[in-house]
Amino acid sequence: MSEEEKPYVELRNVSKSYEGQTVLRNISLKIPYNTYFCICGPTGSGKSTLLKILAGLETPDEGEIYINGELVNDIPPEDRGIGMLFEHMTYALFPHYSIYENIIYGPRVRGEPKEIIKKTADEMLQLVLLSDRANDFPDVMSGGMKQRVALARALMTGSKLILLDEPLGALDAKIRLNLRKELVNMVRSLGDLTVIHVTQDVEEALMVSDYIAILYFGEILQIGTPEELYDHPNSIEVCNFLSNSNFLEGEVVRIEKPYSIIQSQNTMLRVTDLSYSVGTKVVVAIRATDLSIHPDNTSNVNKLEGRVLRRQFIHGFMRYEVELESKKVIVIEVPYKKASSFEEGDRVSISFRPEHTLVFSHPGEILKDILEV
Amino acid sequence: MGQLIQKIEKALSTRFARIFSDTFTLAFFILIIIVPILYIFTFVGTEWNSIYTEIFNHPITGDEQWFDLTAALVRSFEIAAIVTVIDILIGLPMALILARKDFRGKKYIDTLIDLPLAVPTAALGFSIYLFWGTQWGIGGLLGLGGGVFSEGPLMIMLVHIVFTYPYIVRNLKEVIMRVDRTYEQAAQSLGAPPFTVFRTITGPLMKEGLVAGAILAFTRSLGETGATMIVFGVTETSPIQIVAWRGLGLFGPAAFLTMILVLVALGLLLMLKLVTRRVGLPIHRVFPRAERKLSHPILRKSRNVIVGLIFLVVVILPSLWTFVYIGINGNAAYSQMFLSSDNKVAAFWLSLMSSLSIAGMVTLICIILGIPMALIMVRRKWGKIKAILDAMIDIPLVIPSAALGFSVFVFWGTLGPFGPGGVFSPGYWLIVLVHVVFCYPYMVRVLIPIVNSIDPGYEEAAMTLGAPSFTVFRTCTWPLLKRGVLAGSIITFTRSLGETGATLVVMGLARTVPVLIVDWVEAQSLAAAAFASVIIIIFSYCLIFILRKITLENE
Repeated sequence: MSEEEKPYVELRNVSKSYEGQTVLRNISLKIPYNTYFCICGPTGSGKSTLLKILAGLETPDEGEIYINGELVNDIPPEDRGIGMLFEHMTYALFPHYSIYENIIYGPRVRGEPKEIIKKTADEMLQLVLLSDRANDFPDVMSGGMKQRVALARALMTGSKLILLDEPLGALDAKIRLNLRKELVNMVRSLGDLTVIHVTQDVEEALMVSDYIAILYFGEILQIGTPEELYDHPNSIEVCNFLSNSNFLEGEVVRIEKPYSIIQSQNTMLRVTDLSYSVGTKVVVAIRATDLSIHPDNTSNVNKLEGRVLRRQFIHGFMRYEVELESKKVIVIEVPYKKASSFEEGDRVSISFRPEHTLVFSHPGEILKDILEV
Repeated sequence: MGQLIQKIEKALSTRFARIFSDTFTLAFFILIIIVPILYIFTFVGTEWNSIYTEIFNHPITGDEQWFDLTAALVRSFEIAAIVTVIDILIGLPMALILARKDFRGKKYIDTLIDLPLAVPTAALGFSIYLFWGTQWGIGGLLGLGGGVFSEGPLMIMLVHIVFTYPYIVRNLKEVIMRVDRTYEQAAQSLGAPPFTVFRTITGPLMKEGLVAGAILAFTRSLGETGATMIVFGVTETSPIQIVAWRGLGLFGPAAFLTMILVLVALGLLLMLKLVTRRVGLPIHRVFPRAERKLSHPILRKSRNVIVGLIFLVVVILPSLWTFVYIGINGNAAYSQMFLSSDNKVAAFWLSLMSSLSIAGMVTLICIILGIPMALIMVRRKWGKIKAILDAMIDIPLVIPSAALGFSVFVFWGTLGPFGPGGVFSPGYWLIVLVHVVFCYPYMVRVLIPIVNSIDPGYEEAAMTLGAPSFTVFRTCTWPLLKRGVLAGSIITFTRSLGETGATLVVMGLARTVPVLIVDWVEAQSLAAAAFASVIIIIFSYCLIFILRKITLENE
């Protein structure tokens, strides 16, 4: 993000641990005004804790939190002016209050004048298309309606900062997609809101956000736009987290511009990244979707040979696991076409283009351990 | 041998055996637990003429009995009501802190809260009496010649607050923990200060539990005898009146009062089952300014300090004061116990042995008959019948134990349906019988959730592998149930060990430790009573300690 944008939310060196276990380590983060910001990471990465610290529901051990330029560390959650959406099961809609009472809860407990509350509530109900359901109770609402009520409730306080804590959780795929679309449309149509959305679903993050921060074991690995992260992951972990990739270990043996030649086992790989000098140990990453699969003995650059170990349908794609001679298994995902499909046990050759590779310096540890989440 | 066991288990697994065991369990429950309690209505009905004369139209005393009866009844209700209100006022904040806050030493406070739960109420009442009512307690510390309070309603209330406090706090803590925290967090993020969050969110979501806890505390206070015996002075409560009338042989008035107390208890139980859901709390209005002030951190901190202080001064210190007293009066205790002419040490030893033997016997019976009952309540699909059974199990829990004791005494004794011979006369076996009646619900109530938590999948798996149902029970259900049985046994054991009221009604010549403590306090042998208390308290603490270890490991 550009430097001149003044951050709306800022965390400086925030750390938190529970019973000796570090959950967040020295997190610094700037989130500009009017952006949709995703914090994305696997389970246990500390993302929910981070959100709760922002909302004031948890206190950090160290570090400062600024909202709109103001230090909020000592401000209790009720005075932070944040709208929060909770997990999808209930969206934390109060079961003993009607929809209308849920929506006016915020301004009511702040003691705003009744007439104004009523007017805003009516407008808000109209906006989320629930004017006729005002007197119903949450337990009779569908998931989508609940989500809209929760959003309306969070917005009623006039908050410009919305926190979403895995709002789409573990819903089944179709509903999830619909609710996601509805949520994003709704948020976008409401204008100048800053949204911080926590999720473990990469697809969701890539789809909805302006910026993504990748959180891994309590540390932020990388921040950027979805394209930046996808095209230029700065580490093996980010690359592995964002897409289904294959990693080949090797060593740069010579440079033949415009390619670097990397020896992996007894295969020579061509890559376009020239930033590593001869003799460096590296890891070459190739996304499963960037590989192509051919009948055996097709000639090609960056060709690997092996045998189809297993094939699986994955929404419209065929996913092959191909075992190389070195026993390494490579995963390939190609659009399914009946004519050019392979059976388990077939000998095949697989290949990829030199520009479809990402090269990282070798972390020095056993690669498998890093890739296991 | 193995084959024999297999054969026996096969035989025990037949349909016939199952029907037999179900019938036996239910018959026991109905005939031993429920009928003796309800028999009091029949008794009062058939003896109505003489009872009427005795109470309302006695040639010498006129309607004095009726006058006494209503006075004591009203007083008991007043005391129970005030105790319940104070309990909630001081117990709710403590429950909130324990359920929602993390701090150092929380574990210890949690254990301390259980302290009064295990101690026989007579020993507890005595300890509190020493603390507030004698020159060896707080009065002495303040330089007064005697106690701060004298025996009477105020001290009865203090005692009742102490022994109902653990019930209220435990209950409310469980209920609060069941309220999903995200509701509170949502309210907070919407701008509600902590007090408003509690009043509009946590409170309404836990109200059923709150009302249930309050009713239980109310019934406990209404029915307490042992501790009350020690501190009542001249203001009789209804349970004490039953004990006194029974002692004087005034069976008519005692029966009439028992019937009223049983009716009241049944009414309360009905309320517990039916009405709690409909209690309304004012949740549709908000007072932002006032509530914001009430949520001020300083106010909340001072509230926590006050709650802690009350806990220390009103609950913990008084319940442990016997130890201080023994520390000061060790010599007196020694001489009263070992040197007095009436050989107190022998009497104590005898009563300790009968206490332990009664409690052991009661526990054994409750285990044997409680397990099948719990299994029936969880596994059988009997619909309505089960709902009725479920309500009936709680009946003995809400009836004052002195009333319970009296109706059981009437049923099995010379006044009962078995004619002038009676079946049991007052003494060891009648004590056991009465204790079984009020301990049985505890055992069943502890076991039901545990049986519930056992996945029937295991049992079904064992059955598909060819195990007859009794073998399934022995190899799959029992190992999972064991801890629950142990926990239930300890509760049953301590309840039986600590009971005073019911024992006083049916004991005859036998003595238990709580009764002995009451006797010695009445005889002003305070040091000897303190000695007996300390022994029984230490014993109970050990049991509570084991209980906590078991239940904590379970979690």
